[in-house]
Amino acid sequence: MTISQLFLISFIIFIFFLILTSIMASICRRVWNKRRYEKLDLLRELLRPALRDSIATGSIDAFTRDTKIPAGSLKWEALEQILLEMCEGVEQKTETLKLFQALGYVQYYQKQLSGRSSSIKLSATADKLGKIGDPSAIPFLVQLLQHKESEVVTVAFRSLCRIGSTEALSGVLTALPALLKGGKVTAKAIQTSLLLFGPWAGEPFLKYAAHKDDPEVLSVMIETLIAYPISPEMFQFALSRLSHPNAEVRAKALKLLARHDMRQASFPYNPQIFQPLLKDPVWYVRLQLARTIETLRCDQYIEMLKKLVLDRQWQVRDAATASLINTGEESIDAFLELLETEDRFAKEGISEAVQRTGYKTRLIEWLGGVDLQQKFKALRMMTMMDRAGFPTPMREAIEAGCIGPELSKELAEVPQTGGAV
Amino acid sequence: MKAILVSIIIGFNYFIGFYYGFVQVIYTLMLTIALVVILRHLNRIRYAPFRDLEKRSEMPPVSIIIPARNESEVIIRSIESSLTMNYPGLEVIVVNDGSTDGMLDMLISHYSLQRIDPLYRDLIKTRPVRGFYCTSKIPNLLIVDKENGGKADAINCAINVCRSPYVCVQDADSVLEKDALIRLATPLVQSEVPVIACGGVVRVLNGTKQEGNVVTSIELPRRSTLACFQIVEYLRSFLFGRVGLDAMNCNLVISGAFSFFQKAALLNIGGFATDNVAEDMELIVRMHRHYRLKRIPYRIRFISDPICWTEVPETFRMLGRQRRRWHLGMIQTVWKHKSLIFNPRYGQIGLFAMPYTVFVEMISPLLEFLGYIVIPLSYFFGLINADYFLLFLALAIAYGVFLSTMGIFLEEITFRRYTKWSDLFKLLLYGVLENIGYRQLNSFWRFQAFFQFLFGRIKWENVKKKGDSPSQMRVSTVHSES
Repeated sequence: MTISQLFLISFIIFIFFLILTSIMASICRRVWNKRRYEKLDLLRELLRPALRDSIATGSIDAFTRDTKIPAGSLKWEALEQILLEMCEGVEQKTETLKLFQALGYVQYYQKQLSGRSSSIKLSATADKLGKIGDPSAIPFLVQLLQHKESEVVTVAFRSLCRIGSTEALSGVLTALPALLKGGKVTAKAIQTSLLLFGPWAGEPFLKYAAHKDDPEVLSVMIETLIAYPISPEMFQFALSRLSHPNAEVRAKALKLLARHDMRQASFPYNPQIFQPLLKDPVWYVRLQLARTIETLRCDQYIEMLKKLVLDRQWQVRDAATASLINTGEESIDAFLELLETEDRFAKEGISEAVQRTGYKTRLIEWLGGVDLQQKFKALRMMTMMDRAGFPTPMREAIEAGCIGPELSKELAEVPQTGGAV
Repeated sequence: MKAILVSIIIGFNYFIGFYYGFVQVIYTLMLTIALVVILRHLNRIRYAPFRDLEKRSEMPPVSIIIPARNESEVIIRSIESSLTMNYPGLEVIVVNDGSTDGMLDMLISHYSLQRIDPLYRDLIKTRPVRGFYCTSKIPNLLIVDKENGGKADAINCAINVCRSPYVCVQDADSVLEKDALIRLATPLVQSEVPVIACGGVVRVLNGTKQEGNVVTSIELPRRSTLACFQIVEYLRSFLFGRVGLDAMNCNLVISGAFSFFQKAALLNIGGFATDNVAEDMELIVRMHRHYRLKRIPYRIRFISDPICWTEVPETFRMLGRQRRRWHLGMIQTVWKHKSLIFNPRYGQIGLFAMPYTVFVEMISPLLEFLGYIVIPLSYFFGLINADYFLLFLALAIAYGVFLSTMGIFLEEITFRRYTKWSDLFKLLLYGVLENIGYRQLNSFWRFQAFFQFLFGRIKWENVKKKGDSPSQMRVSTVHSES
């Protein structure tokens, strides 16, 4: 037998050994997992009622005194899972936090944080501390915001927000400008994390944003404020940022004003404030304006929306058309006027929106109704839509019998062109 | 003359030996990388903010695109599965690509759809659109009826129609897991570099039990051995092939059955190519090419935990068609983008991903199939030593078995979807058997693709899969009649 044959044979044997190892590893892994999860389930079943009882009877101290668990053991894991489940309920938050402290979880993870270097382990530990929600972890987590790995920073940021105390808020807001500048955490991740603070944070967020001029920080903060309860201060803050030199800030401020509850709140403002924005050089500011003026129903909003329907950017035209549709019956005159213009794009945009939003059902109802003025307007609008290549509402109205014989004759002369093809 | 021929044959045998060694080294490297990456990813899942994000209106809106032709048996299941996803802002667009099985009428009556005439902006040119249908009951569902133009054309049409900044393309015969989309979209929120495309794992639907549109019980198919072989194959491909390539930002394929894209990126490159039979691969290569050429930072991700269940063919004829088409698409793509190969301008795509695709994925069936002919012939004519021949054969099969069992091991340490003990043993058995017969057959089908390419027989071959109703076979996925 030659050396090369020997080499090939030994290589084949080695591969067979690897195959056997992978098969055995698959089987052993399954056996190990099965046993582990069975034990975990059993421990959870045993510990859950005991834990609930101790909380209900106020005997947490006795429970912790009797329960000595080595860190990292299965029992430790089972107890942690039960406590984390309980943490999610607001009523038991204080008790579970006490238990986490008394059983040594908080100290254990804080110690782990200072000893670990892998970004995954650091992130996992930071996440646990955030879920536990112990304020003593804040300095450790704030320190992690300086970490070089963006993954660690993102998780530490979220954990601080989850802890949700004023110290955590202060830590997060202090670090925010640097984090945004360094690009270690994305604006979306910051924004979704900040919401974890809960409703109480709205006021401090507003105060913080009011003193900032950095467009990146302002944009994130305004976007976050959208999810918080409205107040006159918030409204005034948004109005004051409409003239900000940064387009994104202007758009976000308009978005904040476009909240559905702003109309009901009816805070006082100067109606002329929106006029300059009609000529804003940036299209997405104009787009947002179309939504905001419909929400607030400010003075001459229909006139302003009409101008925006004729905008050079299709996104703005579509948003303005949708806003006009939302205004209800009063929009029909605006639509009739716009359908008379030479702007093909505006006509098509209106015709599409009328069909997509169900406005056409209203038109058909008007056509079959008794109000002659409404009947006439609906018919005129459908005829113009048909001429623009949107014949479906007209066909449906004829099928529904909304159009009498004398009108049908008149309509027969209207060209029935296909819209979609 | 005879001496030259003998030298060529012996040289070919040596070449096959070295090539085989080279391919196995590459696979081993990828396997090692995948093992590390997938374990790290599993640890990351523990602190991923899916639950925080799934109800947040701050998540970017997504349009799910379902291109469909003659899918009347499964289309409702697919639509329902998409509509019930755990994702805050969803729109579902179904494109009827000239179906002839009454799919559109069925959809109209099932959802009480009404025709509308929206403005159609063909930012990407497509075959004519015949109509749009929607219903006030489900405002986020839109059905587009168009003339047959193929899957790519149907997706392009939906891209033109959709209004969301992100699109998710799903095959009509696939079922998405409820949190598949939020798991795919999370990297978009967290990544500092814009993610322009990402894909998840595609698993085999055959054999599973479903309630409504949810996969409730996962088992191996009892009747179809072919489907079981494909399960092993999919596990190997998705759990180590793509994970390994993703770690190097070198993924050139994101499965067309389940993929997620930034709409702006799709428009930048002109949408899906209609002249390629594997439009998903061609698109990704074009994306890499465009973004690298323009020096725009981007990421194309493969994520191993979002899951899409899809049906696989259960007959040799249909499987052959599918595999020929996949390989033909790969050859077409490589040919179209040949300037990328070994081109340092395209970074690791030019220096690794494309050469890997050409020299490992593309030509391997050609060499493997020729090897199956030349090596035994060489043995019969006494040109090679019998011992070497047998040892080499044993080595080839053993290494194939090793890769398959490692794929199953990766599944076992990660997602463990096949929970029955009997299924684990069956999978391991299929992992061994796959290398004796099935693999060779696959090489033959892929080898045939070269002929199709050389002789210009480039067309989409229909693949019939078993639908919900066992008595009927249906034509799956959109295909072109041209």
